Amino acid sequence: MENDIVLETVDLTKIFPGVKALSKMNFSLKAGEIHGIVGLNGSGKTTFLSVIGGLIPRSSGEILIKGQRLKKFNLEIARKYGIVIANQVPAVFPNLKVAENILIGREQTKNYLGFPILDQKGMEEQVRDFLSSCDFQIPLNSKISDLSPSILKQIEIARAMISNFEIIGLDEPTSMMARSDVYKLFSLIKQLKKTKKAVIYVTHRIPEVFELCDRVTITKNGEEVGTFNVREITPDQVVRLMTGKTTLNFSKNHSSSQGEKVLDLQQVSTKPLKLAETPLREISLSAYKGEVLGIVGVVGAGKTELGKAIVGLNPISSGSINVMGIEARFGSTMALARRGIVYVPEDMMKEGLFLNLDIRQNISLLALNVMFRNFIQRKKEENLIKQYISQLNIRPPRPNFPVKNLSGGNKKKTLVARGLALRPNLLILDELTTGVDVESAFDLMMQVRELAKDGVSVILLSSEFERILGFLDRVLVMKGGRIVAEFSSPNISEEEVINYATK
Amino acid sequence: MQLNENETVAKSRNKILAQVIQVFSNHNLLPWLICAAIFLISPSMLSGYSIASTLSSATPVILMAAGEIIVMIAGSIDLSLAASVGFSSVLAAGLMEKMGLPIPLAIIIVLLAGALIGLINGLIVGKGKLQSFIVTLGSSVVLRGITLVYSAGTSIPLAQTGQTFIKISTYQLLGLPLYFWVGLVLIILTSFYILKTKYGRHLYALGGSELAARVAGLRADSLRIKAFTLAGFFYALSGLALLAKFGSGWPQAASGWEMDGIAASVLGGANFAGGVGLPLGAIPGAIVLDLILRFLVTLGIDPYWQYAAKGIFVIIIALSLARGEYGR
Repeated sequence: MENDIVLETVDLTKIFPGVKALSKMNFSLKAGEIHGIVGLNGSGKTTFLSVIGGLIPRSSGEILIKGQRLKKFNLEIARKYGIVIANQVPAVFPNLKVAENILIGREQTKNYLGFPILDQKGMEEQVRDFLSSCDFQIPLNSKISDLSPSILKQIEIARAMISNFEIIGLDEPTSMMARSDVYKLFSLIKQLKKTKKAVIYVTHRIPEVFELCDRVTITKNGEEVGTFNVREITPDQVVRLMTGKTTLNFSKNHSSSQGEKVLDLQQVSTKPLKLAETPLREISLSAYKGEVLGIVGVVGAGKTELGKAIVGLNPISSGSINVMGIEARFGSTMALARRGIVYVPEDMMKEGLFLNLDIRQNISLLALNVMFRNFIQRKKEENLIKQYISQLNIRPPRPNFPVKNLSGGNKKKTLVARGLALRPNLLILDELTTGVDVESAFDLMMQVRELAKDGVSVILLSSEFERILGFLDRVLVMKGGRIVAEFSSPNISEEEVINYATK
Repeated sequence: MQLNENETVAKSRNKILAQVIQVFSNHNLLPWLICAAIFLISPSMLSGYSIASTLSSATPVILMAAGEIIVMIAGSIDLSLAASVGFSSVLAAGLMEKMGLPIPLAIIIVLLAGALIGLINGLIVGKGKLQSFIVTLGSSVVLRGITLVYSAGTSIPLAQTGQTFIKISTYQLLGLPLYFWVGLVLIILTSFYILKTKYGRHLYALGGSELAARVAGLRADSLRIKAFTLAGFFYALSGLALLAKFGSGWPQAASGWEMDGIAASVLGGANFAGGVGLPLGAIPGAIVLDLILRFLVTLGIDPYWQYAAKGIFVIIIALSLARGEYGR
């Protein structure tokens, strides 16, 4: 008996209506270990963590903690054994203070006339001490709505780490996080190892596994494909096991001739609508037919604000935006969409998908306006949907499947399909690859190249330089609401782009 | 670095205006602003006697709104407020007059019945995963029905045992009736409880984001059920105050008061989006509502328009709150 195994699952299975999210998952975790779980989106990583953390009940299988088989398992029992989870999407309360957010559910109290009263000072001190010990720079007096996604992510992680935990599950901790914060997080995780805590590190970024983890479990379609010592496996092998494909060859085959001008911005500036928004400052740029243009920068550089201004979702304070010969005005989003000028937002949950509707309704939503006058011809709609489901390889390929049960990558594909269904002339894709696994990202980028070949002008707004640079014809680097550099293929160097974006 | 930029942004003029609105909505200064405006236009309305009479006549609405605010903090709405008040006053009158129960016992039964009604509302909303709007709309009609059945459709004047109840509850202390003071103490205690305990903190969290609350492991359902139960208790208290004030329980008591309670709640700092407010806010909320309505009379506006005015206020305040919250 190895008694340093703190957590073990045997044939752990979770079935959601219509999907087997987790199928006979076998997993073991040792004290003082950083154990990576990698897999494509929809391979069951998040489901596994949610079951382990007691957030959702298992369908079948066994959970053993320190060799003890647990018949009943829920959130309280998980907490009792010191299991905490930091979610992929931060669960924050916009009306509470930062410290209150971090300590939610774990408030300290002091007695006042025999009555347990919140110990406001003690809690703030506890949070302050914790933050300074882990070098997270979270402004405690800011309003939640003013904080960047990177900070919100740190709040989510801090909430898990501030408790007395034995086992911590981190779900894609580095997604949405700024590069400098990622390094802090890594050194923090390495410290946990020294204090004999066990870490489950869920990610789709393979390099992080090799930087951080001792062992790695690879999942595919809700099953465990294998568990390896990180020293005994190569990144290529991991990719192969994840996808079942030999190698993913990212190459491009674009034409270099410049087409007609589709988009023209002259000295565009904006005033921010919310405190967290970055104002645009005198942005001038053009985009051409058949071109894949990348506009890259770190989180908060103003990319989303630019994308929204172009399609009339945000007002501009000065300058002009000319799209295919017409002036884009605030509020003209639908009129622009009818002409094939489409913006696909980054935030799938809030701004993108309608979680109450199915795949068909989500994809055809905007196209209906263009295709039909009043009544929807079901058959025509159905054909359109089937075309995009197969083109983008959406799984499961069932038009009536509820979107809320799709995996992250497939949600993204559904959202992109909505844009494609409008037969765009200018397609603006905001953070296309964020939260998307290697394979889906490749599918999507190949689609982008196909579109450009058919004469569509594509603009990619992205903070994940390394994943898209190879596909671009031209790249503009944004920083603090300005465009600070421009490169054209084949002279795009990742190093230089990062340099301009971050320095 | 990003933060520095945001700070400079915050100094632009638009932001200052936005922040002023924010401070107003955060600290619930709107009702006091209205008070000041009314005082400037018509100073006599805020004289000592007038304030005392406003407070005592508004007590039932204050208590009703205090309960509603608790539910609104949790991000729900309770439309059974006025029907609960009406039911409680008729039940109290019935217990005292028809059954001749001793006054303390009658009061305890009425308060427990109010809490029970709230508990049932909460259970249906929480466990049934239903929208509070439709559940409490339904239960308010049920309560009106029960009230009519119980009273056989006629009013129950307090003649014997009830007279003692009136005497005690309207006993004047510093120019205000005892029922006001009892209500005030309970509202202060409850506000303290909501502001200073884990339960309160979790209630605000629930109203801020139900999804995040569930993910963080808070028991959303039991938090909400408790909020409805507390609210039910306050509605019963409001019913008792109403009975003390009018000396008679009649089946149509407090009918149409839904808007009064909700208007006082939003004027008092609660928000339909949830997550903000404090029961204490019911006091300025109800006073300002009362002042506005009386001010309209002073201006010579047809009293019938008062009814429409309440609804208009609710909508205007909801709009102004949304502006502060989302920076639109």
